[in-house]
Amino acid sequence: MFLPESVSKLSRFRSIRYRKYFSLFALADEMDSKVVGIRDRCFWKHAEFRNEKEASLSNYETKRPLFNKDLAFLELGAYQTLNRHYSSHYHTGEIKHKLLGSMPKFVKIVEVGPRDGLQNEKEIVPTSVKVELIKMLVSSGLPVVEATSFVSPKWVPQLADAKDVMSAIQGFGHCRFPVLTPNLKGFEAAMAVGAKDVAVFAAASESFSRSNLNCSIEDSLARYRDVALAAKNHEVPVRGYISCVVGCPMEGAVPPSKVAYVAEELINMGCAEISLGDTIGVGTPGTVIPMLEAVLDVVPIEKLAVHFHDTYGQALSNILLSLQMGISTVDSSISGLGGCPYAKGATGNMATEDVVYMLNGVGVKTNVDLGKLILAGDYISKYLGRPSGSKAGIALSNASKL
Amino acid sequence: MSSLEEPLRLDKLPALSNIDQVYRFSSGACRPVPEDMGMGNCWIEGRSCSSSNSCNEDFGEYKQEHVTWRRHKRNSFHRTSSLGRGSVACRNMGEFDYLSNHHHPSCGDNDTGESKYKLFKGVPKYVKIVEVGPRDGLQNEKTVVPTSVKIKLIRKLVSSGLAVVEATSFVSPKWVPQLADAKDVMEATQNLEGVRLPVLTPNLKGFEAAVAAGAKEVAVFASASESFSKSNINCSIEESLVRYRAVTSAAKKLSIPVRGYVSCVVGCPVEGYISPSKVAYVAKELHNMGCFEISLGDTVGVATPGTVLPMLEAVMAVVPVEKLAVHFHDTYGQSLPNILLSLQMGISTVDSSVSGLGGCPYAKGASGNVATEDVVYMLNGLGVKTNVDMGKLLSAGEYISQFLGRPSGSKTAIAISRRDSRECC
Repeated sequence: MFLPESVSKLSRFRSIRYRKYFSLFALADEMDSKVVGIRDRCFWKHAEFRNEKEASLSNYETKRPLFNKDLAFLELGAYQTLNRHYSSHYHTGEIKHKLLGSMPKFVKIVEVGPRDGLQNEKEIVPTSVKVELIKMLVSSGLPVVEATSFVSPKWVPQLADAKDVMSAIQGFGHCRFPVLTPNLKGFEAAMAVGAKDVAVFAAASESFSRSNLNCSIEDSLARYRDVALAAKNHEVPVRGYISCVVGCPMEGAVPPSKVAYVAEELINMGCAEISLGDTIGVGTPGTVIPMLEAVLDVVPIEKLAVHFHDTYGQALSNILLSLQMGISTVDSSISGLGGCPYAKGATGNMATEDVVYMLNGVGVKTNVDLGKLILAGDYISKYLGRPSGSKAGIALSNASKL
Repeated sequence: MSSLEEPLRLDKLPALSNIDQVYRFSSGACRPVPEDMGMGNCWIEGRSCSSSNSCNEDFGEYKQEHVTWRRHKRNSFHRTSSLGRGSVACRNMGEFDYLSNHHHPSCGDNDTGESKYKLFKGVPKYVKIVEVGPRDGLQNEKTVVPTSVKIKLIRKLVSSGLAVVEATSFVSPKWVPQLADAKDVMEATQNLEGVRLPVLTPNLKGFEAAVAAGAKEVAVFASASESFSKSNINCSIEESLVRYRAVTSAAKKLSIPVRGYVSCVVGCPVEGYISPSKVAYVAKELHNMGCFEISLGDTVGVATPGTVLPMLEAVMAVVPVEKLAVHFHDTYGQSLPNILLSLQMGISTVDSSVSGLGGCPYAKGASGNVATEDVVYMLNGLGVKTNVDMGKLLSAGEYISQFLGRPSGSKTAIAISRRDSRECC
C-alpha cells in the first residue's frame, strides 16, 4: 500500500500546532501507554506535524476520539487502520468451522468491467480510457480481464473499437483477456487481432434468448458449436456464459433443469468454463442452491463460475453461498460498472472491490491488491463522472481524501 | 382468472390457495416440471426436479392445480406477447419481487440430509426483524426530521408487519438533537398495537423519562472497544456497565424488558481489530445484568464472514443463541453475507433500517445500516418467515426517502421502483 509508506516518511515532520489534537483527550494519554492492535508496524506515540496535511496523513496513530468535526482526519485514520487490518488476510488464519472450512483456498476473479460494464454506458468511452482502465486492472493482479467484444457495432456501438483495444493491450502482464465472440465472423475478427481466449453467450430462458440474441437457444448453441470447433482448431479456450440462470424478465422463474441442459451443451461442445449469470439479480441463496446443484450434476465444479448481479443487493451473499458450495471462480466488475438493462437506474454487476474485500476477510487468496483495485475504480468512476458502485471502494477511498 | 392487462397480484387469484400462489412463483427447484410447455423446444426431458423428491410428495395434492397453472401461464404468455415485452416483463417482475418466495419453505427444512441443504441446516424458520430506522437511522440525519414525519414513518413500518420498531432515544438533546422530540413520538405511538417500540436509555435519568413517556421496552448501549466507549459515550466500558446495571435493576422492578447493544464487535475506528473474547465479555455482562436480548453491532461495517464467525462463536459460548441479534453495517457492502452466515449459525434476530437510513458516522458519504428491504428480500428467498409485507415496507421506505429528498439506500427498493415506473427492455 502506498499510503503507509508516505506516512512513515511524513511522521518525522514536527509541528506544535496539531499537538493539541492529540493531547486534548484523556483517551490519547491512556492509549499512549499501550500498543493497540498494530502488530506489524511501529507505533508512534505523540506524533507532531508541520501542517494539517501531514497531520491527517499520520492520523492512524493519533488515537483520538472520533468527533464529527474532524471527519477528514479520522476518515484517513479509519482507512489506514481498517485497511491494514481488514484488507489483508490478517486475522482470519485457518478457518476450521464447517461453514467456511470448505471454501476454496484460491478464487479466480474474472473482471468483466471493460466489457460487460462499459458496454452498457450511454456515452461511448474513448479507447484510451478503456486501455488505461485495463492497464490498471492488470496491475492490481487480476488474473482475467474481459477486454472487449466482437459483436457487430450496430448492436453494441460502445465496443466498436474492439480491434484497437486488443492491439493496445497485447503486451500487458500475465493476464488473460477473453473477448466475446457471438459467431464465427466475430471469432475470426478476434483471431485476426491476436485474441487468445474467447467467450460465447447463451441463455437459459427461451424468451430472453430471442429478445437478447434474436434466436432460439438451440440456434444459438448451433452457432456456438461452430465457434467452439474453430477455437479448438486454433487451440483457443472458450468460456460459455449462461444468462437468466435464476429468473428471466419475461418468463419469471427459470427451472434449474433448463440451466443444467444449456450448461451441459456448452461443456459438450468444448467450453473450458461455464459462467452462470443471474442477469436480473433476483437470485437469493434459496434459489441459487438448487440451480447450482442441478448444474453440478452435469458440469465439474472446477469449470463453474458465478456471475451475480447486485440489482437487489443479493449478489455478495449469493457469492458467499457459492463459495461455501465450492465454486472457485467469480465474475465481477470494477466499481460495479454495468447497469441492469431491465430496470433502468438499478445496479447491475457486483463490484470487484467488495468481492475482494470479502474474500480477503475469509482468508481466500485472490492475488489481487485491493488498494490498486480501488485506484482503478476511482479512475473509471471519475471519468464517468459518478460515484463508484462499490461500497468498499467508496468507504476506503473517502477515507483517503484529504 | 384475473385480467391479463394488469399485473397479476395474489389478491386477484382467488382460485389458488396460498400454497399454490407460492408454488406458482417459486423456482422450479422443488417441483416436478411438466414435459412440454409448448413454448418451443422441449429442453426439459420430463424428469422431475433433481432436488429432493420429498417435495413432490408434499405437493402431490396440488398437482391438479399445478398443471392448470402451467397451461394458464403458457396461454398468458402467448396472449400477451402482442402487448409488447414491456408489459410482460413488468408483470413477471412484479410477481417476482412482491412474492420472492422462490424457495418453498418445506424444501428448506428437508431432513433427508442431502448435501445442498447442509448449508441451510442451522437457518431458523422464523427471523425477527428489529427495525432501527426511526432511531438509529434518523439520529444521523443532518436536518432534524419533524415529529409528524417520524410518527408517520413508524406507523407505516408497523403496518408492514414488523414486530419491533425502535422508536426513539432518551439521550440528552445536547448530544442528539435529532431525537429531542422523544416524548412526543412516544405519546403519539402509544396506541399502536401488536408491535414493540423499544427506546434507547443511556442512564437512569433517560430511563425515568422513557417510563414517564410510556415506554414499555428500553435498550442500553455498550461497546466492546474501550476507546470507542470513551469517545462515543464518554466513559469506559466498565463505567457504562455500572450505569446500565442501575437501569436494568430499575427496569426489572417495573417488568420492563431491556435490550443490550454491543458496538464495535469486529472492528473499532480507533483500535482496529477487536478480539472476540472482549465482545463475549461485554455480551455476558449485559446478559447477566438482565438484558433479554443482546444485539451485536459491527459499527464500522468492516466485518466479513471470516471475522463474524469467530466473534459469534465466542459470544455463543456465553450467551444462548436465541438471545442474540446481529446488527451489521453495510459500509463495505458486507452486511448481507454476514447476515447469511449468522443465520447459518442459528441467529434468528436481525437489525436493519428501512431504506438503509443511518449513514456511517466514521466514513463520510459511506453507507451505514443494512436496508430492511434487502434483508427481507433475502429472507423471503431463503424461505424464512418474517411476517413482513414487502409492498408496505417498500412504501414506508419510499415515504421517508421522498421526504429526505434522496434515493433509497435499498437496492431492492430502487430495482422495484425503477422497474415499475418505466418502459423496460
